[in-house]
Amino acid sequence: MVGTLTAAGPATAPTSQPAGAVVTHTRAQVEKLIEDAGKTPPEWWDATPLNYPPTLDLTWGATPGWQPTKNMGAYQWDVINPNPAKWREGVKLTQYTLTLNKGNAKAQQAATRTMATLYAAMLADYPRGAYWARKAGGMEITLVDCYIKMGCNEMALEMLKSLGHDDTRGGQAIRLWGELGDLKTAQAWAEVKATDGNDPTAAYLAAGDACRRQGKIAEAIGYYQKVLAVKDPHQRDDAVNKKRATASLEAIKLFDSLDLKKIADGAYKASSIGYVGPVEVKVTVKDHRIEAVDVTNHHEKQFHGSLTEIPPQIVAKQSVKGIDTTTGATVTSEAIINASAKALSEAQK
Amino acid sequence: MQGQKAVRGMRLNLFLPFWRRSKQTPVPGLLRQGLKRLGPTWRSSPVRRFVQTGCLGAFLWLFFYVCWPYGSRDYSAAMAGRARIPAATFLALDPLVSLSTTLAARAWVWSLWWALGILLACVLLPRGFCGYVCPLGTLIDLFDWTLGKRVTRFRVKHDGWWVNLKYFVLLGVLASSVCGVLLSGFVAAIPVLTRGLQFTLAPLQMGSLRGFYQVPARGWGEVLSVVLFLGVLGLGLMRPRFWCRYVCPTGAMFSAANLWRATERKVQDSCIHCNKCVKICPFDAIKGDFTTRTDNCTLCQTCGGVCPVHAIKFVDRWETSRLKEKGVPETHEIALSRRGVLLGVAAGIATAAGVRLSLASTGTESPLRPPGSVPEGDFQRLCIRCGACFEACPNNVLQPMGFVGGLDNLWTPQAVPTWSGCEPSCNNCGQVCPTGAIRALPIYEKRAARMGLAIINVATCLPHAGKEACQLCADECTSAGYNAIEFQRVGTQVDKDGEPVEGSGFTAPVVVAEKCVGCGLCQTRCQNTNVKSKGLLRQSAIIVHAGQGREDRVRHGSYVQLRVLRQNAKEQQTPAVRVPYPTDF
Repeated sequence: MVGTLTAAGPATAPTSQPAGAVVTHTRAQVEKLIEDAGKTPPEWWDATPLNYPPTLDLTWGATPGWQPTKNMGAYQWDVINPNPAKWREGVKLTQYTLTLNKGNAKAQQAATRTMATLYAAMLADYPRGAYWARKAGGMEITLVDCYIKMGCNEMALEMLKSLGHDDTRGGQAIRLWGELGDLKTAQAWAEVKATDGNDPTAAYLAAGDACRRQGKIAEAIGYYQKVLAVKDPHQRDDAVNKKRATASLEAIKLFDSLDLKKIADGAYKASSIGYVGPVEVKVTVKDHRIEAVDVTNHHEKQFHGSLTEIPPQIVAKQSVKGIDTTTGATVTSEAIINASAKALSEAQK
Repeated sequence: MQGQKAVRGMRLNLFLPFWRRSKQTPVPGLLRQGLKRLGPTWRSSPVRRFVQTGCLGAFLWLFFYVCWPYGSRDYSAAMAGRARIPAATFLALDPLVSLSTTLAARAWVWSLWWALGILLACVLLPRGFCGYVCPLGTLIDLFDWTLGKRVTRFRVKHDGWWVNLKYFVLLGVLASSVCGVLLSGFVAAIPVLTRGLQFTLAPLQMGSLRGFYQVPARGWGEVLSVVLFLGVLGLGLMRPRFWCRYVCPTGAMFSAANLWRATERKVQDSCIHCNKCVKICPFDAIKGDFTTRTDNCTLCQTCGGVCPVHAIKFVDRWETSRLKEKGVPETHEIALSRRGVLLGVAAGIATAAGVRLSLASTGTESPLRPPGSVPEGDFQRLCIRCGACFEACPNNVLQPMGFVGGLDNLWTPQAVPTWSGCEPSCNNCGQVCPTGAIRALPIYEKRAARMGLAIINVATCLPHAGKEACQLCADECTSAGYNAIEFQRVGTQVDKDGEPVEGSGFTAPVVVAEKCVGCGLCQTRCQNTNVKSKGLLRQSAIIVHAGQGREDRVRHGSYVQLRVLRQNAKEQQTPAVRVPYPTDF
């Protein structure tokens, strides 16, 4: 039920490796990590309370209909997943149901799968995620992701190859090929999924994401446009996939594909909603360089730090990507950044 | 000759004696010439003028600089850094403020120590506060100097029943305080000044330094306060310092304290009855026979510097050598009328009764009070409506209530989350409150003190109503550090296999009541974006409500502790379950 690898928000501190670090492990090291993870509780275990509404059916029974106050799966989806602060509670609750349902195989399976997803996709605790994914069985995609994050591409490749084709709901296998750097296989599998699998929107969306991940912007745009071109949408996620393709195209236009060489000299204005109202920005381009960024109009009441700190950063970096937002004035900072990005992208049209 | 009747004891002459042409001094010195250019009082009592200038400057500095909260994101640390003396210094020095609040609230108010201090100081310099320190008095002097001198048609020549008005006002205020209603804020000197400046100059300060769009709309309550303030100044058209002489109840308190004075103005028998002292005295403290009206005299010593024969001296009160004869010429003193006393007391009690009755009739929701406010009944009796908290509050979250909340709430502070939310890094209002109506809390206590509870209207909230995705309130709460808004997915759709459709429904905000302090940042955000900018809603979908069970209003004790107690009480209800790890299955 919650087997797809969609993280609902930013992962909390990973227990196995710091974010952004490139650490590789051998197969033996990974096996050891997983074994240890299965034996020891995470360090936050004792401090996390057991919280759940009294109406919840802890036997994983399925009252018909979508009942987030009764059914564990629906509760997980609606209440636990959207809140990073609740993920640990979710793990503890699921573990509790495991102890309660010793004889109930169906409940055990559902709970085990949930544990795997919570650890791997939400909490970014990859050793424990792998441990529980192995216990559950049938969670190859989760395992591949865990192996990649634990730094053993060898194991990841092996497992991914063993799948043979992508029959996931969202094209996750294709994305993972992109993650591993093999765009050829990703694109090949995408073609197979689109035709034989009869799910072109998911296939091409995944292929587009894979290309974008590897920095192949032009190819990514091509795939996203293929998604939008699919006629006769009949798969259940077609509408959502098209929305995602559109959003990705928009983001590429605003941020990834900014090319100052294509912008003529001039002053370009745009605005973006800030804290109180629209923040208007004027970007001056000269000789294909961002010469100045000026906030021309705003109604912000809070501390004005971002008004003085963000524009110089944009000029210094000659880009709207990778700007440090002013702590405590992130809304205003982002408004300035988005408005500048809009102004430049319209100039580039 | 200095014989057995030698002048012993204190001599407290601070004035600059009148210049008499003589062989030794044919021309007045540069100092005298310079001071004369400034004005007659500068010439005769320069010490007084210097002290007055310093005190007015200090007051303005405290009010418009120390209380001005902008310049740093950490409001609490910034104010602590600026305030070398307490921001409420002048308010604390006003003894009527502390006495009336103590009587009304039946509790010790910290500024009572200051009151005792200033009254002790006034033993040495009786009513010296009025003559040297009071910034309202100095402002009145400035008004009289600029405007009062030129407009003559309102001048009163002869004294009337009103010469003792200040005592009646004082008694009325004290009577109403005893009855539990605080009226002193309307008429005591420093609150009148603070509030008057807050409602006139502070908007100009805000407008010129940060933009006029940052100034909240003016209400009739503020208009009334400004009118009263201008009225106080305008009394000077009848006589210079009319307010100080005849109306100010703070002055009346000091006048009453003059009974315990140690020094006094005395006139020697060399007096030539020239009347110069009477004309220049700003406090109506010289009788018809040129001796001193001791209850009014502030020892400002302006008279000393104009006496052409140097007959005036400021010495200890038991000095009796070579004094002028009393009763020559005749004085026509207006005695303190019994009728006036009774009327004053009666008026005080009647007003108190009227206010308490109106209290009973208003049944609307209680206002959102500043964080750390004492319980509402005490709040009404401690808040002197001085307006200091409005000045110190960044982004004008605290605004004065108008007539809508009833007369008992007039000019009291309320938080207005539709305008702005209470900053988590700020505890200024408690620091500047002179009576403790808003407790002075350390910042970690303020962040646990509940003002109210945010309640989401699930019928209008955009994601709850299935209209569009929105998480402005949640983002705001997280960036403020309270983390009191969680998410819940609403409207999840299910496909034919019973699986949830990815991305269906909306993540909608849910308030975690245990963490919410009612700061209103969420409401501000929804109001500014969804109501004002985008026009999607008519009213914010998340609104902070005050009331029982939603706010922490205590006179003493820790708010952090209260939160712990609440949590423990909650945990008592759910049994503790130990979940073992790992399981064997």
